[in-house]
Amino acid sequence: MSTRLVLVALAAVGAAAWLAAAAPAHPQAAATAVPNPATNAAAAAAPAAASAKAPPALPPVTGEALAHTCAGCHGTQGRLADEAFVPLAGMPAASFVQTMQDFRSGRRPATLMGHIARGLSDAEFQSMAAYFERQVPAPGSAAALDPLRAGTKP
Amino acid sequence: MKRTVLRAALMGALVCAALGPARASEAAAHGTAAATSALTAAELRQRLAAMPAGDVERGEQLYTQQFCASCHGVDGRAPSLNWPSIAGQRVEYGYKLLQDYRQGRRHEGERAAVMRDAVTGLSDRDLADLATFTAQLRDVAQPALAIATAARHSGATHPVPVEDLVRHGDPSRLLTACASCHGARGEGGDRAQPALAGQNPAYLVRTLLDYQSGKRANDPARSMRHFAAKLSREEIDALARYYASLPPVVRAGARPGPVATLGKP
Amino acid sequence: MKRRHFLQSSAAGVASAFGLPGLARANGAAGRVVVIGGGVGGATAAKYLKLFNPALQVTLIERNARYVRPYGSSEVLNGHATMASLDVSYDALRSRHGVHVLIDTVTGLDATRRQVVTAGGQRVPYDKLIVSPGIELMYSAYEGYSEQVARSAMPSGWIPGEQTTVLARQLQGMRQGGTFVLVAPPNPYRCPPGPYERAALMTEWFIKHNPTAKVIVLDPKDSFVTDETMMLGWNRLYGFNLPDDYAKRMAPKVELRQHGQPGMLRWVRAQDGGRVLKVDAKRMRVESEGEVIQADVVNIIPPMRAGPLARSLGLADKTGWCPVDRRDFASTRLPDVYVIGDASIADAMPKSGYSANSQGKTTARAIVEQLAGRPVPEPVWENTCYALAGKDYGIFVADVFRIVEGRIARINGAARYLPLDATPTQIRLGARYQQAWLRTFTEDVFA
Repeated sequence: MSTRLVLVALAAVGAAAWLAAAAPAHPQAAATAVPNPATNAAAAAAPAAASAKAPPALPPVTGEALAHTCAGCHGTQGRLADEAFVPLAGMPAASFVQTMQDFRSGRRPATLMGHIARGLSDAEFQSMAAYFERQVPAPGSAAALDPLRAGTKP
Repeated sequence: MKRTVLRAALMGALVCAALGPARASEAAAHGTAAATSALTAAELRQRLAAMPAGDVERGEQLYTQQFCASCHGVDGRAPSLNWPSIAGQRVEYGYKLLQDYRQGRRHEGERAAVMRDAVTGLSDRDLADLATFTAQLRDVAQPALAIATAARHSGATHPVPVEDLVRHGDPSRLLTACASCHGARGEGGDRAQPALAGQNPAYLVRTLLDYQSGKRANDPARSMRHFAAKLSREEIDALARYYASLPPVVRAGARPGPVATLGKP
Repeated sequence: MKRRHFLQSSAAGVASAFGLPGLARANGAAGRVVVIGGGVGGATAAKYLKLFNPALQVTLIERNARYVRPYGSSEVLNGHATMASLDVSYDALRSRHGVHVLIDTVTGLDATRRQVVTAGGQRVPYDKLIVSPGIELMYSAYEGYSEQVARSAMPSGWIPGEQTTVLARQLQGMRQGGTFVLVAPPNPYRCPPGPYERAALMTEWFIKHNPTAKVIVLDPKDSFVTDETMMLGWNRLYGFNLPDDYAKRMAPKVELRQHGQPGMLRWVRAQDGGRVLKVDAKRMRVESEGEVIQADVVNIIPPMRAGPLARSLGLADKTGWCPVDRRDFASTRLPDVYVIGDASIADAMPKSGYSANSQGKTTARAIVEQLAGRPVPEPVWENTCYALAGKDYGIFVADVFRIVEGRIARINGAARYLPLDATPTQIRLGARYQQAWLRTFTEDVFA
């Protein structure tokens, strides 16, 4: 292969990779507004009560980011082996949402999950549930052993 | 009819026990705790005969005090795949199981350790009360979990002929029918054989795998480990799906559980 | 011939110009982030940076080859844990997450060229720099106290290590009937329930091994985080009588015991003269506003401020802590530099491991978005910590934080602690969860 051809090929591959890298990797981070970092600093410092000059809304916290706050007990990405806490990776979304609602209402007793749940909204439960349901469960965890899990051979 | 089934079950158990030594040494390899965890048939009979009469109201108070609902749900229906459902479970099994935890016969890992903490300091009477209460629990279907389960059950087929195994066993492997101990409808038996109908399928899979590996070794007369040893992983998954799909046991006079009053803001 | 040389030497150049990840890794085309400090904040940030964008070049600079975890370190004092069990390796950060861990000491920062300078002679370039320098203990806050005294007669051990070993030896070897004085720090400090957990665990140990011992906590404060639940445990386990104002507040909600013969544990608050003025290491005396105590073992947890690096890099203000933009914890003093963990000024967030871990994640996400030119989403943080009032008595604090009117605030309502009417099983379960949390938390940070 001639040198020129190699160079062109390299350039083509490089361009493709550059284009791929420039595409947003995280759909949830797609913005409705595009705030200036300087404005953000000002917005963070100023009271939100400021009316006409209110800064643009921040993109809302993602389900993934909320899910990461759980990792200190429930494992990175919800993956946990044999432990006292519940693994969350692979948990059916409906189960997660119902559980968090029950913690928040006090219907289900817990040591501290009630306190955590009371800091979050239903919409946030849904977005966290969607994130956890997608995660591959750790081997040996309940979701990994579930014979009814989508993708398990019947 | 019942006696024939019983005799067949006993024969099966005897045959399996005869195959014991090889398996027992495996169990011994998991430590002396495993080897001594299982009651003999005679010990089990004594335990059950000595079980105090249980009181449902006291059991309900204990259910709250001992924080059971935090894992097993207000109505004893597992809120996640991580723990078993206990609503409608047989009184003898519940009692025997709680005793096993209190005596350190269950030691598969962290979850067993949590259960040991939950029953520390409880008397036999307390255990009987709890078992009596949970037997009377009716699981008020938590819609989300029920939906999830139903969706998965719909159209589920069992390419592995597991119903045959359940009803007739497999003479070629000296396996007696599951139903001979666990009941024709998965409702359990009065010698502390647990009800399996409607149980959390992930829990059933883990349990059979734990019996297979020796991690769990509190099976009376060392019976379950012999069954589990002969099952393939496909059969274990199929059995778990089968029993999970059976309607759970609901006794006459069953009731929902105590709604949590602790920890409210 | 000439063309081939050109091809070889410029392949990397061409690749980096087009952002091709593989060949350009050496030039860090996706972004180079340097993290200074391999504690909870720094390690979490480094790990999650790689999780969020594996193409990032992440370098963690840490002085010590292994980390000694401070959370749970008081359990070494009562023999419930070994010093070895506090050790955490950086191996998983390297092998599983691809973080380049550089064991070296940072000596300076070239903010113009955006390079970190190390004692080992390296100049480590960065696009973004996270500084997680932890705390510095201000030994000189008390007359008669110094780092030298902390290493010998009156260990602190608030940053675990050799002092923890010395303190454990002193406590377990204390003469029968001896007096243990623990000096609690003023706000703000690392690990709010920590000093009281330490006093509780030692009291529990003394009751078994040294039943005539005395434990005195001298406090420049009148209250502390988890005070009601911690002291309820003391009331039940150690014959401790609650101060009147606490008793009045709590009695309607929970049965309190009144001990005719109070137990060995005393808590001397500021209003009762608990503020310490000076110590005498030779004579083993502690002088507070209220009294002079002749002690056998003295454990001082002195006032603290952001770690020395914060000051030497110009990131701290007059308070001794580092002001940051709440949204992404970017330093208000240097561009492209972020400060997380204990060293940062984070309003309502306590200075704790969990806070540092939570901030590491939000800052990592902010940096990933900023490097890609995308907006930074609203952050949410958590602080979920279990503590012990006794080996089988678990308590906790659990909070969720957001930015409210420009400051970080708790948004989960009034309830944040173990309820006063918790059952014995709930409390015992809390202790088991505390042990589990030590494991799972460490894994989330380092593994």
